[in-house]
Amino acid sequence: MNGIDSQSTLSMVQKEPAATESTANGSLPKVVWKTSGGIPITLRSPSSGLSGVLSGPTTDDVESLLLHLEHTRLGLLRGFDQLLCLEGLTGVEQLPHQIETVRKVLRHFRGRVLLADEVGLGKTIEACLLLREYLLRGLVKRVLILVPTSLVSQWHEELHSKFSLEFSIPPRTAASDKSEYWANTDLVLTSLPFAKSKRRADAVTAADWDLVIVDEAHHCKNRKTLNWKLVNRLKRRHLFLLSATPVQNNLMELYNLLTLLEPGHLKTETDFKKKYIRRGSPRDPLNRERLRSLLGEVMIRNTRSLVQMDLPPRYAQTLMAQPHDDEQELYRQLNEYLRKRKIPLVAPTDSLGNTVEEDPINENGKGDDGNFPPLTRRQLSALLLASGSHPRSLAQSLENVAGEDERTRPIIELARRIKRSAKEEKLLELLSQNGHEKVLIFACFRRTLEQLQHLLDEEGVAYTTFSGAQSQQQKGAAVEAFRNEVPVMLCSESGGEGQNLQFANTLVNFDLPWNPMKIEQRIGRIHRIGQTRDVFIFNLCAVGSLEARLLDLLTEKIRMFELVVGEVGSILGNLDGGEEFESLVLNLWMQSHDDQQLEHSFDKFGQTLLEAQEKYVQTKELDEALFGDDYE
Amino acid sequence: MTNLIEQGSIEQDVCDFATKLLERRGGLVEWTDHNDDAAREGTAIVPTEIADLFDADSETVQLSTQPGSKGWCLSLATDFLDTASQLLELEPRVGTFCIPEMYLKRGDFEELVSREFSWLNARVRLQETRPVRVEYHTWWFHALFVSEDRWETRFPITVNASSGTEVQMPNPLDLWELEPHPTACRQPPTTYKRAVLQAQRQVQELAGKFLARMDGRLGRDRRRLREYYNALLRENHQKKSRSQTKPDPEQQEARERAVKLEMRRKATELDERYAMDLTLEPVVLTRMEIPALAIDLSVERKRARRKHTVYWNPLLKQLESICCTRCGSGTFSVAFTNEEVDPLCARCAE
Repeated sequence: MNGIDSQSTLSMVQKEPAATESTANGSLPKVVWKTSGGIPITLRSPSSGLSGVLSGPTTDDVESLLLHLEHTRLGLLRGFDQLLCLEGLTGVEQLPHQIETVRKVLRHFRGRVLLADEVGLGKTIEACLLLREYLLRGLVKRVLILVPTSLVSQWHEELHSKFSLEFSIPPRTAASDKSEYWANTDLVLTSLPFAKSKRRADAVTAADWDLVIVDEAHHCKNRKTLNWKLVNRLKRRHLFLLSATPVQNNLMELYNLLTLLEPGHLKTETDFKKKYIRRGSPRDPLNRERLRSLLGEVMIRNTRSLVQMDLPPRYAQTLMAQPHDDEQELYRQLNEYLRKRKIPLVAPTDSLGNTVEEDPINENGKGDDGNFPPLTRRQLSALLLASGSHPRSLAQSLENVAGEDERTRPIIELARRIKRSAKEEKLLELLSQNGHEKVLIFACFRRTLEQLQHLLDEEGVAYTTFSGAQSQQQKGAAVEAFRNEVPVMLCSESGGEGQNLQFANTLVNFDLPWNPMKIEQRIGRIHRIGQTRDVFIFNLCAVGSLEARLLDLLTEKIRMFELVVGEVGSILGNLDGGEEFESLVLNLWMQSHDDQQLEHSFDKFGQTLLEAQEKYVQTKELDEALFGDDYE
Repeated sequence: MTNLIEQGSIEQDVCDFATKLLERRGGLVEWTDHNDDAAREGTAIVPTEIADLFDADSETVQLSTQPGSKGWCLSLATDFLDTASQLLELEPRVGTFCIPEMYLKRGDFEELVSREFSWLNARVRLQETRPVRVEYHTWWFHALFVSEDRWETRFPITVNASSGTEVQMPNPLDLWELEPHPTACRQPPTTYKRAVLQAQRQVQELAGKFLARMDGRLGRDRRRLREYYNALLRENHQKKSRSQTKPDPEQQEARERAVKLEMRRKATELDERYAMDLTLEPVVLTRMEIPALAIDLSVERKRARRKHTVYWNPLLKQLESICCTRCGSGTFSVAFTNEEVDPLCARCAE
């Protein structure tokens, strides 16, 4: 039996270089020493180096030199107490427990940690802060982030907009099957299913990574799965595993996760079972205190009670607007038109179950109706979303997407003729009943926001507008006006992030994004730390619309509006197949030919959501029982 | 390190540094009064090119120690030092100075030399003692170890430019006798490689605790890995003997091979994780010319004869060591090579 040879741990550095290579340009030779523990130390040439010092001018003034020396000295003081990652963030609310977690990981965990905060406490923020800190300090250069398929775009967007980090998402082409892509791209964000695919797993694991981050790491709970094997095979210096529910069924899952982090930390599987698992009772480990202490060396778990982040309740109400005749006619015509130009295929996924952006041209180069190619999935969803928002937004989107098709003319004209939609009337009714509360109104489309501005102008309701297109100064002024002067703020999708809007407690979703995470982000603008009053959410939608069905699904099946912030993500993470939620909704629409079929599809999907939610609740209970509230 | 220093004093140091830097670049800095708890606020009027660096609309730049504030945020938690380094690029890093007059020892150097040095395999005679002017080069290095962890420091190395010997000199920038030396020799210094060699030695000592800690960590991690995989191998063996039915030997061996392979892979990964890079970056060089005494020695080794010079340093008031021609370290216990009669330290002579 071959073991690893024992090594002395005495720390005496060899006094002479173990190897010396002269460099061609006469600069410093490359020297490698070894410590007595066997750690090689390679002397690198300085970046600016000798030329930086010698090529410049000389001086006989002491002050110049003292300034350089002081600059270096101050640089030495920049320890981990002074986090570098906090500067230059956009729209990130830094909570004390997150900062503390970052410090803890930097100081004590040596870049290998399971971040297991309860849902909604900001594991992703913690991981991104850590990532930024490591990058800024030059501790890592090559980073791979693995997330569920449904979260790729959200991660990408947040890394960019909040942390100013540009990650590359591997293209869905043969290029990403080659090892060159993985070896030459320093910052990669992709889904676990994509990375583990047979076509590219070898290329991904052949590359050297300084840091690997695995979000929703409980997907690696089973060491027999490709997920676990992939992460285990990855060559990496540091590893962050993120999961609010590291134990879903039994303690062995936790063992498997921690073995990824530090093999042997919990000894062998047999040892672990013997010491910690009580037969027939996975929720009640043996030697709990010892286990807790071992976990404390590799895992951080903040809980709501620990960080005192309990929020007041929130109440949601759906306000159904009965569309006027012209609106009904508009939706009918639009549906008819879109069904003609939708892609005839039903399965828009590749072998991995990922959504693919199909070629809009059929094999014969024509659409169903023989004149125009089918609309792409993106175009279809844009039009369907616009129809759920406002007739004017629909008209604009239709013009942009299919303006060349003469058949859209009457639809566009009809949409433009509609003066005031039923939803707008409902909104005015709501505002008139609202009293003195500040109301935040969200809309996805710029055109919808403009229409709402007209509406409020006409009705003499004072408002301000906050949108992603505004400068920081304009945004600040809008928030101030909302706080001090006007009762209403119109807000675009990205609006309000990072702003302090807790003085308002009423939110209106004038339209609904199809992604529940985005709905949650909207709510999170006012239902967050600092909110002291109950929060009221009003969802406006037209009777019979796709949004009405979606809302019914989210409120009736998973009771979305009663969930704690972050729980929606955990539930959706339990959906198999790894598709974006919007894509699933579009699939439902595409697979059905009429309203009856659509209703049936939504019912079926509702059942799947219910199962995902039940799975989440069970897991949450198990984790709470295992780790308790006082775990740190 | 930060824990040992009060936050307030760091803040003060940062403000002082920024004030000096801006004023050297033609700026004018004014601080408003503040109490201990509040952030420090100030205003600087700076030349246009500096204002551009801060994206300031005018030549007036706001200064504050509060992160997130407008203008230039003077905090170590911001990119303050990075911006400062851009401004510092304009400041020279090499200074030329001198001490015009110093008292030089008189008297019996023969006795002093024989007391300080031991000559291991040669006969050495004092030939002449003469006053000279010697240039001392003090190189300030920034050393950075990067591995799983990082550790950095800053330290000076002073080398006698005439003899190449490292000398434990006081910080020249602290010497009251120091004067500008505008007519100093502008030839590039020849002492860099010698200084780096000494710096490499010194940094190992300075980083001793850090290296020991890393060794300790690696040792623990290796031990844990070894125990884990050896336990897996043991379990594999025990399964063999406990099993009722005879296990498939091929399967058992395949498992053992897999465990060993994984063990090797993880061990390699561990070593890669701990591998360290050391960067030694020269930050500043002071060239200081001072009066000294050169003591010429005649060295006879068998039939070979050679002249060597040692120096009496008036700042240290003592003789300097001789530089070993093989390893570069200074030594008072000197042996010589056979033909060239080059000086060697005792270790290199073994």
